[in-house]
Amino acid sequence: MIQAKQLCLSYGERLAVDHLEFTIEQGECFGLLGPNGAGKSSTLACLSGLGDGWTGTIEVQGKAVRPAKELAVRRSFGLVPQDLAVYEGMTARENLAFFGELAGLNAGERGTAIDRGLALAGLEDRADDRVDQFSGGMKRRLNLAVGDVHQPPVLFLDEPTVGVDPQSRNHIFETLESLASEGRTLVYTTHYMEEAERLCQRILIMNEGKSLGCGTHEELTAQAELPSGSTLEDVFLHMTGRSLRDG
Amino acid sequence: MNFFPAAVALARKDLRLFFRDRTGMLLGFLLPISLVTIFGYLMGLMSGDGGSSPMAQASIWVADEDQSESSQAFVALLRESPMLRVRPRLLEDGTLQDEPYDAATLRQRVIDGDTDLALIVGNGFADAIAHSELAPLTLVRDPGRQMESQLARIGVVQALGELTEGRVFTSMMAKQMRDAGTPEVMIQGMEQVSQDQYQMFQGVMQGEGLVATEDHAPPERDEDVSYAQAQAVGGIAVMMVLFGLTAAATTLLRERDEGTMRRLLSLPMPPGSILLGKALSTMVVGMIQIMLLFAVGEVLFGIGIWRDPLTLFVLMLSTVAAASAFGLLIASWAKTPKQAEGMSTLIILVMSCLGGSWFPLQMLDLPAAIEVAMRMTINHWSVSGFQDLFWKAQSLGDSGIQASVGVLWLFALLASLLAHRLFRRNYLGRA
Repeated sequence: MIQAKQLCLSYGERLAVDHLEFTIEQGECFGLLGPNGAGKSSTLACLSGLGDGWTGTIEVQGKAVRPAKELAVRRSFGLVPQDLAVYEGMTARENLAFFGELAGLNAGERGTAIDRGLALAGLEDRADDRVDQFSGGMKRRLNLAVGDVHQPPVLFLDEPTVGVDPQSRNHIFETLESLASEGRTLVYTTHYMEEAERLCQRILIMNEGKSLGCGTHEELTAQAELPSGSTLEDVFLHMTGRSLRDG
Repeated sequence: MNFFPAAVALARKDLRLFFRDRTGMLLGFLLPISLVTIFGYLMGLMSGDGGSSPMAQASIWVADEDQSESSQAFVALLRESPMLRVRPRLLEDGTLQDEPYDAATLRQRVIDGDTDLALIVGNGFADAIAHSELAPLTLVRDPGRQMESQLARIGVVQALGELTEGRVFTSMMAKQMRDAGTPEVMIQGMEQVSQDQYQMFQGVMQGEGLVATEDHAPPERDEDVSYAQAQAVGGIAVMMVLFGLTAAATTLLRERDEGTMRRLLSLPMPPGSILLGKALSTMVVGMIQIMLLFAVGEVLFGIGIWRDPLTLFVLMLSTVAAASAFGLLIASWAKTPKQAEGMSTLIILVMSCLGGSWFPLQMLDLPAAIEVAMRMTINHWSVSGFQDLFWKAQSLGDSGIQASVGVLWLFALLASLLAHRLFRRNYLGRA
């Protein structure tokens, strides 16, 4: 279980994460939903240990932690960044092997992890091709597989389907559903309603770094005081407003 | 993963990417090799090490208006001067390469900027020489070309002296003495003494007489080593390693821009290993580059890399460590690749100029402030170390090389510490 209390992060004068409070249960898929610039990626950065400039408390299994400083905590996390964070000059197999090694897998474990990762990304027959020869969808799938190469109990996913074709998107969804069914905890940021609705048991709706509501679709509808049966998009627009966001 | 194994894994990844980009790698090695070859060759020519030309030359056009046997002999003597390139050029078959210009045309060419120097051998040259009078010679010059003008004057005076066997100088003095009313008997005595002195002066100029010469060099030094070429190879190698390693280190910025840095930072390894990994990979690339450059220097100019390979290796490693730390400092400081490129180019060019990569500044009597600035550069300590090794035939036990190695490692240490601090601030402080 991961719990955030009074989590704040500022970039200069701007408060990117503003006193957030939420709990992520073990084995659930938890969504962070918000418009561009809402603070989703910044929240993920605090949780996954990308930096240590935040204030407040993050608890993992009831213990206060600072992921940026604690290797043991980070060992139980995996990150799928929004950018295609793989090396284009290396093959799919080499990327999986490299990140697997840095994640602490020994040579024997890496062999298994590479085969599993290639299957996860649907790239078994392109394993030894360089990534710069891949399509956008293939790179996205590899990006996901690399983040999960050491099979961490908690996987942070920062908009993992940006700019992919429907087939790859569907493949990623099926992969994530399969990971969730294994009891893994997924923390998923997106601004696509249908993705949040399909994957996440509970959703935190954010705007300008603040929490506007947290719970299941039904709970959020009730919090927004909208009629039952309202779509998630109705709830989202009701909470965040209809003005344009340039993030 | 622990600090050092993670750094090694990261370095292996960087090296794999570096060697896989064949074209980039080839260019990264070819450019420095070309520069070392060109600079080494030019420095050899300028200093006479190559044996083809002992000193700088001035190009001078000559118009012989007298067209006498004497004036033609004078022009022939000018052509023999090592300081002058007389135009029009005389071809092997005895003909002139171009049509000679007359005096008026040459004057106009100097005015138009087409020619910097011209010598007009006026009518009556032969008569003047025959009567030991002042010869009608006029040097037409662009006043902005002082050095060439001085060379031309020396060349002309030497040729005139040889043509008249020194009589031209004594007759000049005799004329001045007569004009001043000196008795004829004294003038004749002076002429005799002057003639003897000229003969003696000629002898001294050719290495005889007054000054004894002894040749000494460090006995360990390779006979083929030349000062200027050793300086050029060492200097250009240091400069190119600085450029190469700064470019390699700025892949740190690319990792940030392309998103792989976020993934690396989220992995269970100390963030400092990312910086150490970059340092290790850049050092491997730098060692390959600098070894290749010195191998080229050995093949082309015989700088003597086999005399003391251990000292050479330590000097190369120290240079590469300092250059690598410099590259990481730039990469950790810069916010964008453009900033890194601009700042590193500026600093490397200034360091190369001051530190002796382009020209052996240590030969000059520099103002104290420039001397201090020179000693602040990586290039100075590195080039000095290589010169101590190749030219002075020193080794690790000598204080000169120890100072170079010590300062280079001190620089590497300080730059690394600062780079680490900036890396933590700019890369880890984002969340």
